[in-house]
Amino acid sequence: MDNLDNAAELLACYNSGQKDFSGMCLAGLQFPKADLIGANFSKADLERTDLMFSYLSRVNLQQANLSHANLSGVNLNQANLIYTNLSDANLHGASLQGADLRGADLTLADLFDVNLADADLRNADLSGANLTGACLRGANLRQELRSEQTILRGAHLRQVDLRGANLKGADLANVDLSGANLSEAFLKDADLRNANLNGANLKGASLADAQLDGANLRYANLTRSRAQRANLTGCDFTGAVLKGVNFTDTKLCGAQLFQISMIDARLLRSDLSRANLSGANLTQADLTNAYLGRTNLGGANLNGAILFKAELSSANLADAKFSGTTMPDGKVID
Amino acid sequence: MEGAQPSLQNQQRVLAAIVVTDAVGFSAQMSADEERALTIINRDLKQIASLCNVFKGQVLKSTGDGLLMCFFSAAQAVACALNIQKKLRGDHKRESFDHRIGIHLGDVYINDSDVMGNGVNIAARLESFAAPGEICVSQVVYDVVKSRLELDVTFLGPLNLKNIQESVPAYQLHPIVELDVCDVELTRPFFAEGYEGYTFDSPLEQGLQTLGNHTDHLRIKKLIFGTCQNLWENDTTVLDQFSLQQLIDSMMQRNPSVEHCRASLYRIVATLNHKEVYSDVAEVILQALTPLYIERAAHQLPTEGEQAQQVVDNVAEETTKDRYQQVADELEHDAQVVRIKKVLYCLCHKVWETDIQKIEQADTAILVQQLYQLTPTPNDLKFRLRHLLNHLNRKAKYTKIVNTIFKAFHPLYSAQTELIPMSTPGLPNSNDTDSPETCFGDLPVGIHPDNTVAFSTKASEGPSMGDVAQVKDRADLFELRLDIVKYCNPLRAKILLHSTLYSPFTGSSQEWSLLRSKTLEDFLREVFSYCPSFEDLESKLSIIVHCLEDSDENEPVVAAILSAIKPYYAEPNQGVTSTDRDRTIVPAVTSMRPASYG
Repeated sequence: MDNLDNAAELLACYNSGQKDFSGMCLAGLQFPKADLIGANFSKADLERTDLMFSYLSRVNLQQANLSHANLSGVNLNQANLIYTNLSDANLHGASLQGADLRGADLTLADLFDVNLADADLRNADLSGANLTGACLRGANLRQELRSEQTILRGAHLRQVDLRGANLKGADLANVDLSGANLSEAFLKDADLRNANLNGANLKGASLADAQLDGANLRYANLTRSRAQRANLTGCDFTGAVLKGVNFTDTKLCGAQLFQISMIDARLLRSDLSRANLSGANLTQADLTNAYLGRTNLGGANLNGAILFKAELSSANLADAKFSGTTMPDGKVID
Repeated sequence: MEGAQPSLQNQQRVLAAIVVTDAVGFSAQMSADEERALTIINRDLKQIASLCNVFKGQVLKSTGDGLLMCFFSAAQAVACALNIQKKLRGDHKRESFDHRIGIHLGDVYINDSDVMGNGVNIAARLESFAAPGEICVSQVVYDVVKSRLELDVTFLGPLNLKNIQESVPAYQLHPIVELDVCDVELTRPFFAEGYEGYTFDSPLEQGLQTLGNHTDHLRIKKLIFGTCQNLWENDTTVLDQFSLQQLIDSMMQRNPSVEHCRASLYRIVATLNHKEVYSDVAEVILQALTPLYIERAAHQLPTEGEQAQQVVDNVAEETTKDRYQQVADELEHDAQVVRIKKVLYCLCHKVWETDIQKIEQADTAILVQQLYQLTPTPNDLKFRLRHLLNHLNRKAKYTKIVNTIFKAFHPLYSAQTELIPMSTPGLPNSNDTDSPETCFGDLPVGIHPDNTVAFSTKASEGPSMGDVAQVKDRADLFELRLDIVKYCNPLRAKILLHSTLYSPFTGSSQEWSLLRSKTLEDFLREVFSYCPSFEDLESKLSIIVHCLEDSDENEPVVAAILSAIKPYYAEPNQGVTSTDRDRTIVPAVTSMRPASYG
């Protein structure tokens, strides 16, 4: 079978039972609303095709070229998109639930309001892609090898739903994740430097070893999140919720934690030098071995907190509350 | 011609209906009495220009004793010309010139200051063929308008016009001058498409006649009443308290367009047993109301008089806010302010709020404003208050409260209807039970208003907190989004919501860019503010789905949206209509999810 000249021919073939269109040149064809479920288009050239609202679930598009294609509103659930070229493709409002996008090229793709729940995006290149409003619930963006990484450089991720997504080691530096849902997300080793996480939901997220220096975490909800060994230098936590966080061994130098609620927080061995914790609620917080050099704890509530072996000598403790607090020398204040 | 209202600002070639007028005997009059001639012509031209404006035309230039105008509809051009002739000839109270008018439809070049092209030349030549006080139109204009307007015409045959190569077949139109037709009637436009006939009867009167004389007039009234009040009423004694005109006015105030009106009507129809019968009734109503909406749309184009009215309106708008505050102040001085606010809150939010803190935090002025907007007439307010009262446990106590509210609201209504003086408002315990303005002393609540003290202390006023289930929090819509996109196509969901919020999606580039500028979440938030109740959304979506292509594809989308969104709505009405025990209005108990959502 040679290349097909028109969409009608292709659909006729498909309807007569032929499902294999691999390697064909179908560039520029228009088959909106086509039903091509389960067809094989691997290595086919589908550049600039119009497939709007088509049914392409379980389609094999491995290594196919779909750059600049119109895929808005398509159903690509469980499709094979491994190493598929989707650069500059329009996937606005498409459904890609459980699709396999490993190593796919999604640079500058329009993924506005797309459903990528449970999709596999490992090693995919999403640089400059617009993922605003997209649903990536449970998606896998985890870094496999040092050399291979899901790239999200310059991507738009406002209001994105990444709940429970695996973002281990993902490059999210400078990315706009404001208002995103990252609850239960796995962000270990992720690069979130200078990321905008304003108002993001990070409840129960794992941020261990993540790089967050300079990130905007204003009004973010970090309740029960874990960020062991993370670098949180200079982060702005204004209005954020930090109840029950595990910030053991974190760098929080110069962080803005003014009037923050850090009840039950674990801050063992954390570096809080020059951080602003004035008026913060640190009730029952564990600050064992924490470094509080020149930390501002003015008016902070340290009732029931543990400051055992903490370095407090240069901290500002004016008006701080110390009822039931374990002091650096192990004594408990009544 | 692109779009409905193309701009004429820059040089462009457009297909337009060109209207040329010329005053007969102007030069002769000028030589006889220059000043008088100028006064009269200026007045005439001003009048012609204002009519042109009413009919959505544009004055391109003045020729000294006439005007060159341009319309994007031949029907509007002719309707305007007919009105000009009627207006200027029918006015016996003052002198005016006779005018000739010529109309042709053709391509013209328009720029800021001038208009050129064969179309203009033909219109000008046709004008010279018109008899004084009449209109000469080319064949092409006549063909376009003949089916829409009732015309008295004479065929003039093919005319050889100066400097025009081909002969132009033309018609002379004779305006029907009716005596004693008032000015207001004359300036009312009739051009709108789909509106047959060319009569001077007010669309409102026509609509009232059609509906009032209809064999199904009782069902018509019930349905309109139901739509206005959001409550079904079978009792004719209640219905008789409302005139059809009142109800139509109220419905048109709430529904800015025929489409809104349709959605509101069908929302009620969907809840009825005889859906088919009432669907027909709804269509009869819509057919009768369409001309009223057309008329209203036409009147929104300001004429001189209306501009003056607008100034008045603007001033009124500024003072309105103060008026709500005044009402609020008066209510807040009452010792029973909490109960008063409970009632206001309940009528605005359809929830009998028992949390005193919430009640106290609610801004009284805003509640007043909201309730006022829900009840455009005193009768509406009275009906709603009475309905609530009937379902309250402590009727006696609340009869007083309700009377206080009704009395306090009165200044709002009297200001609104300044031109139609109302009878003085009844006092809370007035015995004047026949006056519609009287309050609730006459209501069949079974308890004498004064016999209140014995009750109260033990009876609870609202539902206990345990009965109040929480509606899902609208602050976090990630779950809702997921539920929607899991079961339907995200793009189709957006298109459907877009269509519901704006207008049926046609796929224009403007609509696409709007669709890409907002996320599904943004649309959902707009839906929450646009559709106050789940039922409202349900009916709007089920109507809009039939206005779109691929309704087979979209039906499952509607189902997915509705089942996902339901837990985010409080369940309305339930309390008001279902229970006569202690509690009045029970907010939604919809934590249950559809089975498929496991």
